[in-house]
Amino acid sequence: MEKRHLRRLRQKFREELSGKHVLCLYIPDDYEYLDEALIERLRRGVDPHVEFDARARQDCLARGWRPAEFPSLIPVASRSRGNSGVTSHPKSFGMRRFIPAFLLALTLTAVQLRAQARDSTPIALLSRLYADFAWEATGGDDGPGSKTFSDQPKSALLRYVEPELAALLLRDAACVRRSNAICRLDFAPLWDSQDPDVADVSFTHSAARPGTVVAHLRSRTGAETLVTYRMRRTSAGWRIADIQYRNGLSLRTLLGGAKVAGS
Amino acid sequence: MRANLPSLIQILLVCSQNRLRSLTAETIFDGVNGHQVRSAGTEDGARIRVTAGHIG
Repeated sequence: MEKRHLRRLRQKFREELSGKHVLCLYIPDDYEYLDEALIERLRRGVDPHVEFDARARQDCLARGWRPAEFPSLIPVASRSRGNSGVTSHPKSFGMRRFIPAFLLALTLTAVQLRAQARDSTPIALLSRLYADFAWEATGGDDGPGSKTFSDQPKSALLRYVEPELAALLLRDAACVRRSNAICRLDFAPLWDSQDPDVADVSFTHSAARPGTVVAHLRSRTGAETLVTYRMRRTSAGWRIADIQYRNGLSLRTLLGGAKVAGS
Repeated sequence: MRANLPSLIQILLVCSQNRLRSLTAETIFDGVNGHQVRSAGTEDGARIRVTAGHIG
């Protein structure tokens, strides 16, 4: 029912949704109210996007406190804001295929969207990227904008990748439109696959190579695919300079561009 | 390792019935770090049905 939730909102509230950030968490209707596993899933789904200290609330639940008792127990300043070094565990968000959906609409003001666009860490940027295009790998055809990553316009691409890589992607997309055939890119670049089926994504930093982040893509059967991102800090925040795949090729070289120095 | 958003974000959580999933999320997230969290459902029988006022 994942399509139904999103479709219903889009049908009924098209105008109201414009400019709002909508995030699909793909949580099935398998849980009881305040189920621990549900809370953990919600926390992991929301964590890359909004700063919550939901773990503290989970601790309250574990102690048997009633929800009505919670708010005053959560110190708002419990986490130093802007300190991105406090969490070292890989960020992860669940994605399921052909299951009832759970939608989370984040209503952000323009100011907040600009703040989000700063993309203060490589993993923050990649978390946003995979959340925005999760639908490519979960069987949905009505994801955000319903255009795949490689089909995005320049303005959207520049929110994720460096201008050089955006230019190469746009050149290939123009070639596809002109020739009505596959040009250089013949797979989904975020997933290293022609038919992505991914249930979970997490990220790790490469200790040996600063600015390199490895995305761990796990399928429902548990198979793991590693996609390596070369990141660069720009004035707009962290952006993707290049993506390296299992076969040793990189997205830039596949698209006919020069290699990134040091890769 | 996260995008640092300012507080006071308004968040609407949506599921079918607004009884289990989105209500759990509202319960655990509302008020945390100053964020305002509400929940609603898309179905006719939902506890609180989603309206334009929730989104706009």
